[in-house]
Amino acid sequence: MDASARQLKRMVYASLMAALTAAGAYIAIPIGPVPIVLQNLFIMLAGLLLGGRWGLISVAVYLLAGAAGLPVFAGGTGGVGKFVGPTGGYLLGFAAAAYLIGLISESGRGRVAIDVLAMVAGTLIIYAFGVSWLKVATGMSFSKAFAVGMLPFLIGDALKIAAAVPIAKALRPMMDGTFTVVRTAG
Amino acid sequence: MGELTAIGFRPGQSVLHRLDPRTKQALLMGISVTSLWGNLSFLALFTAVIMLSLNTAGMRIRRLICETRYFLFFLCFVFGVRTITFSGGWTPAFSAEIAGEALIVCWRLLLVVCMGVLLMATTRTADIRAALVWFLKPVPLVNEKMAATMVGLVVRFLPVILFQGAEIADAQRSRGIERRKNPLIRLMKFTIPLFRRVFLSADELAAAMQARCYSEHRTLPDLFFTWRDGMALGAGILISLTVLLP
Repeated sequence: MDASARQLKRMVYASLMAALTAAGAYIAIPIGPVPIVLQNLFIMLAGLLLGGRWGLISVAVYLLAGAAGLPVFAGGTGGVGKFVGPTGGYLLGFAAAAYLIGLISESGRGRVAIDVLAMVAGTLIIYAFGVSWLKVATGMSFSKAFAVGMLPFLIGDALKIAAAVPIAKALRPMMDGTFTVVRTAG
Repeated sequence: MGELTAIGFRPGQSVLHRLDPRTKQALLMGISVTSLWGNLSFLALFTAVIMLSLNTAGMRIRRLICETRYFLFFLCFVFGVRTITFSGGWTPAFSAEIAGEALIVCWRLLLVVCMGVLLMATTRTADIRAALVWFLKPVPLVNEKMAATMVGLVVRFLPVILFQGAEIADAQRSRGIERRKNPLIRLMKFTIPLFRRVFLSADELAAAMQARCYSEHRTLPDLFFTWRDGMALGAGILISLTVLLP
């Protein structure tokens, strides 16, 4: 495969990862009383599977599509207004997190401990952006912003980090091209 | 899927439909940012303008409420959290002054979302992409044509992925996945097949694009900046200036 073909393949992968991220806002797995929304799991996987550079590009494309007014954000909305809105900090946090997770996990070359460390750091970055902007946009106090914008989601995040490790292990061979699935009918 | 097609482009001949997409996006960006400092007089004027635009664009209030219902729930939540304080004991305290502040915050957020809905209802996706290329041209380190192509792919594949996700969920439900209570297994069993399918279609798509000699030199719709856009921008600046009023 020559350089331009590899570049094209990476570009298509990053675009589809961005589409998956957008879809993640709509897909929830109902477990117990609270459904688990998959968006931040997909952000972590973008970093783990595509690496720092392309992970960042993929999330940036997702944000760009939203900023341009296409309905890719949660609730079927889009537009720059969403960045200024109360949840805008999380969106910017997603980009920083994908880059950081990709960067750290690339240096670990697939070691589980490094991947987990990368995802914990990424989650912290998302909340650092998200909670501080939530505080500015709605004028809540820091303790209230933490209670509303971070504490309820921590258990779900721990679960997603635990799930992301085996998922990344199963999918990485496919990304490198060393393993392909035989396509059956359908 | 229903959530996605809810706010889509509706063809029409209104002033908003005929504005340059670049003008609409610039107005959306500018006014969303200035609205952060807006107070009562700004919000009142802005509301009147939004109502008028909704009317000229042929949007019904009922449809608007229906489409933004999740956001409206969220706003009620923000309002509740901001107004009710627990000072000292377990009895909730309520003060009119704080409630007024919270109301202004929620009002501002609602207006910004209404602007986004207006942009989406009156602008074609191809025009939004063309405007995107124009806006990204001066930005360093960004390949604007590649970015626009990628955004196009996202829009094209989002419904496909949602469909595939629903299909996988149905297939697994019919095989009794709901009896597995371990959330880790549920997450893995859903995500791995979804990603496999999506990356398989990515491989096919890349091969198909290469076979058709994909290159970055592509034609986009022409954009025209007319007197109408100039007037709309002027009106936008005037509205923004009312931020300075008490």
